[in-house]
Amino acid sequence: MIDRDAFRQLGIRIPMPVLLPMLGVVAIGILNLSSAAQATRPDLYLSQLSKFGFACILMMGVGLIHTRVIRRLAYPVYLFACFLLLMVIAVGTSAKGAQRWLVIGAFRFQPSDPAKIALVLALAQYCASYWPAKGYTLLSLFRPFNISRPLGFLMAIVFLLVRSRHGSELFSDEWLTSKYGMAVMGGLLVLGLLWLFFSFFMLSNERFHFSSFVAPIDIAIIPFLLVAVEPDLGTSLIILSIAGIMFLYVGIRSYSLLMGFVCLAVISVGSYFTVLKDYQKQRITSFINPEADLQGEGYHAMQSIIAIGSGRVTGKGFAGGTQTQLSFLPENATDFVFSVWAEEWGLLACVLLLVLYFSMLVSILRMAPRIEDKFSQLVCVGVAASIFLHVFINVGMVTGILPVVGVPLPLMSYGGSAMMTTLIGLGLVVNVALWRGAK
Amino acid sequence: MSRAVDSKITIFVIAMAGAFLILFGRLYFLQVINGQSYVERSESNFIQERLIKHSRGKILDSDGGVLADNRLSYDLYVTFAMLPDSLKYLRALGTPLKIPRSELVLMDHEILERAEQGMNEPVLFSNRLGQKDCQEIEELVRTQLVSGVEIIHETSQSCSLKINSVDFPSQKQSFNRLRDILGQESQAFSGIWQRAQKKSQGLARFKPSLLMPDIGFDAYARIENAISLGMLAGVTVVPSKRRRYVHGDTATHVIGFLNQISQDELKQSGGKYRSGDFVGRRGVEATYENELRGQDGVERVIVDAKGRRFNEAWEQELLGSDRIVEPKPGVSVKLSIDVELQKAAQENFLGISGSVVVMEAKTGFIKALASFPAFDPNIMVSADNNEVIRALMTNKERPFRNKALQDHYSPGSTFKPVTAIAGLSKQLITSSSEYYCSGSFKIHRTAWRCFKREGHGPINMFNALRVSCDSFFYDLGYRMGIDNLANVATVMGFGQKTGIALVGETPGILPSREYYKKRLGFVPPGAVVNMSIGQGDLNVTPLQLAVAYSAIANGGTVFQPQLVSQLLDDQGFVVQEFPPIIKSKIADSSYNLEEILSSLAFVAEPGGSASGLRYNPKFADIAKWLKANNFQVVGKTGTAQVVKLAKNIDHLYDVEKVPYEQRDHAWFVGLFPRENPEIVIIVMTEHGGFASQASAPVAVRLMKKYHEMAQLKMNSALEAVQ
Repeated sequence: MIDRDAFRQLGIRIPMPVLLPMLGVVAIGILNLSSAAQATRPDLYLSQLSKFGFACILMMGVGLIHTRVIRRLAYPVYLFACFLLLMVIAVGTSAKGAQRWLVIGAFRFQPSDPAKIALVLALAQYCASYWPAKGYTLLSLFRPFNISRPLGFLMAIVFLLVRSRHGSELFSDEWLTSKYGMAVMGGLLVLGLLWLFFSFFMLSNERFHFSSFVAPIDIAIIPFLLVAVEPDLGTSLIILSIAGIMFLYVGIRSYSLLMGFVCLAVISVGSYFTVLKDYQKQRITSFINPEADLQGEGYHAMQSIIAIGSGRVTGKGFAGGTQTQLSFLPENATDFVFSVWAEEWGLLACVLLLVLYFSMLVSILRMAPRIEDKFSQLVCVGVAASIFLHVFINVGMVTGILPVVGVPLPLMSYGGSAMMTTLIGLGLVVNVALWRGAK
Repeated sequence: MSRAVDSKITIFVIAMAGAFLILFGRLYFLQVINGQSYVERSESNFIQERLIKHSRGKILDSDGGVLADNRLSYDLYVTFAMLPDSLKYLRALGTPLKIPRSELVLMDHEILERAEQGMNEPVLFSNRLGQKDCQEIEELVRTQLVSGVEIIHETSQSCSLKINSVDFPSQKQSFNRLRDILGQESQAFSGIWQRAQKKSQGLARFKPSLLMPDIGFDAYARIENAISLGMLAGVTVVPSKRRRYVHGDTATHVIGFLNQISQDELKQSGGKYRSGDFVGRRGVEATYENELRGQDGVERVIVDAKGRRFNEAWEQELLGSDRIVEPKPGVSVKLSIDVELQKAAQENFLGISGSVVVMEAKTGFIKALASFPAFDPNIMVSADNNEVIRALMTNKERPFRNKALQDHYSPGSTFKPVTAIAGLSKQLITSSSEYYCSGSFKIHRTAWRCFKREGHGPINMFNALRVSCDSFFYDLGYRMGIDNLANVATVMGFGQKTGIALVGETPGILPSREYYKKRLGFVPPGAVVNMSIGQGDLNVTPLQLAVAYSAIANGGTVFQPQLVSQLLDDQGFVVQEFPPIIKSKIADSSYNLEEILSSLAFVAEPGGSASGLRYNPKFADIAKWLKANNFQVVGKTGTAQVVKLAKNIDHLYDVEKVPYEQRDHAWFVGLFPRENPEIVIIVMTEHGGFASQASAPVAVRLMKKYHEMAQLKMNSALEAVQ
């Protein structure tokens, strides 16, 4: 399996411009954790170090596997990740009003983390196989007349009818047995059947292939929905955004792009008033006016802003951050780890950190044009998109320009599954660099 | 293809750079532009200012005895979050038995209700428990010390669990225990409880909140005992300082009292006071507030998010060495008040309302100053005093008023010596010049009557003062005119505030030319005639009269009356000494004040207006003392008419028939001793009727007291020498 030629060139093919900034960020992260958790868990940075060590092994492993194997594993990994997400909903452990954790023995992790990698792989595989020459249109992205759509629609109707038998809150029995209810349900049924008929017609016109059942957007929508119902709004939006950036890389026609943005705006405003739960709305309102709710959600945001602002240009010194050490800053080892860095080291150190992230991401992105293989290009773009979105959303939320959603800062925040996910992603990038040109 | 990809990547990189620039811009805004304000906000997060309290200065009497000091007050605090939670204990018991939560909540309600009613028989919690459950519960009860749980073993295999509501730990139980210890009514105490609970909502639940201040030492001891036995979790008793007025209602109006600072004053004080602080109201407590209070110290400490103090090394490093501002202790105020004389004044007063002033004639220091009715200032600083204060406020005798200087009255005959002095100094009379009293004085068609209708006949100044002939002074006043009389009266301190260190003093009314111009537009020719015998619009305070008579007694020096002789620091060293303050002098070589004094020495002799002191059996003690020492009383009676009833002579002979509110105010001015008087005593009995019966005995008994005290002092001094 391992190519001799590739092995010989291992030394020169290792993507140093990616790995060196990564090591820099990890070093900063561990230094920072040793200060942040001083009061609560002084040995936390050692634990993080060991997790990094383990993740490094994973990264090297992923890097050394032949690209062909990875490409073959893309769909199975994706299906397994979706299975894990389903498991979370079924038997997951809940914390702070959301069910996000899966516990297997002594090991517990968030399946939404590996799901991002799985999504990148599956989407890269799919798009590389069906690469539209002039870019996607909305129609080709969504494919509303795929045979799966009317089938899903009909199944949803049946599901609702069955649930209403068991006292569902959506449709009461009386409403369904009334004339009006029967008319509506009948109409929907007819609509579904017509849709099904039309889809069959389309299917018979086209050649029968994989994309007749699975549209590109389906690959993103499934993990998105599974994460969104946990509920974990931040991560689910990141999943959707990663897919969006990958589609943009493949190309979307300008008219469709415009329409897409319009639809996105309408949906996001609409969903604020319908789908979002109270605590999610509270996060958004307390983001707009953090002072309004100083006891609750706004308190975290405000304390984080105070921590960052009071760090000024040069910071308060290592382990000298009053907000951090006196526990005014919440979650200072995980989501708000950037605030610790900003408070204790100041603006200059923050710029250094952002520059490290930026140079790492640029290095990953710049690999894409030099590779012929579309799958590898898409993997690079997807991994870069994932890391970038995490960094931007996390720093944005701790500085108060984005609502507080539980998104960790890659390589800095304490936590095993996030660290492994990031390093597996980087492992894929290493893999691309090592195996470029290999068939 | 590759070029297209390249340009796409470039767009991605540029977009990403834009996003990072936004982050940088935000960081720049927070850390550079607004950095300083966030530094301040972070400091207000972790820097907490803690007060270093100190005691208020004492108030001492002339011998250094304590009039007001500070005592320990035991204040009861409750931390609501720390009170035992019955539901929590029920859950601990119910969880291993898999009793659903909703059932536990119902059971909790029942237990609380039964605890409230004091029902002692146990409630069944769960029965027919297996052996394993039994052991588990037993273990739980033993380790967590849950009281009120009974485990009844029915057989060796099973047991049942009962709960005694009264003994089971709950908030209600703490309530009951405190109520019993404090001896409070259930309803009243639950009001107090709920008020405190309302104040400690949210995070305040974790802080002690004041339930009852000043619960007394007994309750304190019993609560401490219960706390040490673990029966009152979440309850603390904190000792604090509270003002104590050692002699109760003695010299209330001089000392004043403290009261909690109001919200408005708090705003105006500029951070000097804090909410809940006590501040001096009235009396020396108010005038010397700044000296007595001193300044609280402040210690700045570092606290974490939960308000716990952090390590001190860091405090030194972050806050510097000036983090502690030492408190400035309050200064003690030593009064010239002699507590024995003051007590004598208050005990001997015969009326309901009025005032007594005893002043040192040669210095102006006040030895006693009483206003009636008096009240105990301790109630002003005690808890739950609303009812008593309301009663005091609505009392129509106005106990809060210091009547020696806040009220003014017509001086009546006590003013005649002033008219005489004015006549002498303007050289309108000499001590020997005579006037013929025909029983009245006439200007044109208006006549002023002498109290003796048949007239005194030919009379000189000495006798006119002795028998208090009105006509002599009508004539003298008319001859000298309003300006001359007003000028001399002004020099002697009338018509202006005396400047004593008490708030609310009234200047009285001295009807000068300007006064009438302002009031009527012209000066009525008879005004000076009325004023010359202390009637008309003239109004004086008892304190002003004391100042004027002390000038007569000491040879013509008008002093500013003073209450405070020294300020002492907390070590007892003198910080400031107050010498006598001379305001003006009235005497000149052309006349002798001695003569006026000697004319006043007949007031208690046969024919004098207060001669009753010598033969009325009610005042036998006075007569005995006068006889034993061969003393003459030097003094002057005076009557301030409340209602114009002068024409109706009858009432003069039967005071009891006149309604209280219509009786005249009775003045007596006394000077002691006969030669070279040391003290001036003013007694003003409102609605006292006859001065000789209402006011004169009070003054003479004070003379007696003063005399006895002086003798005692002399004797002990002699003993010390021997």
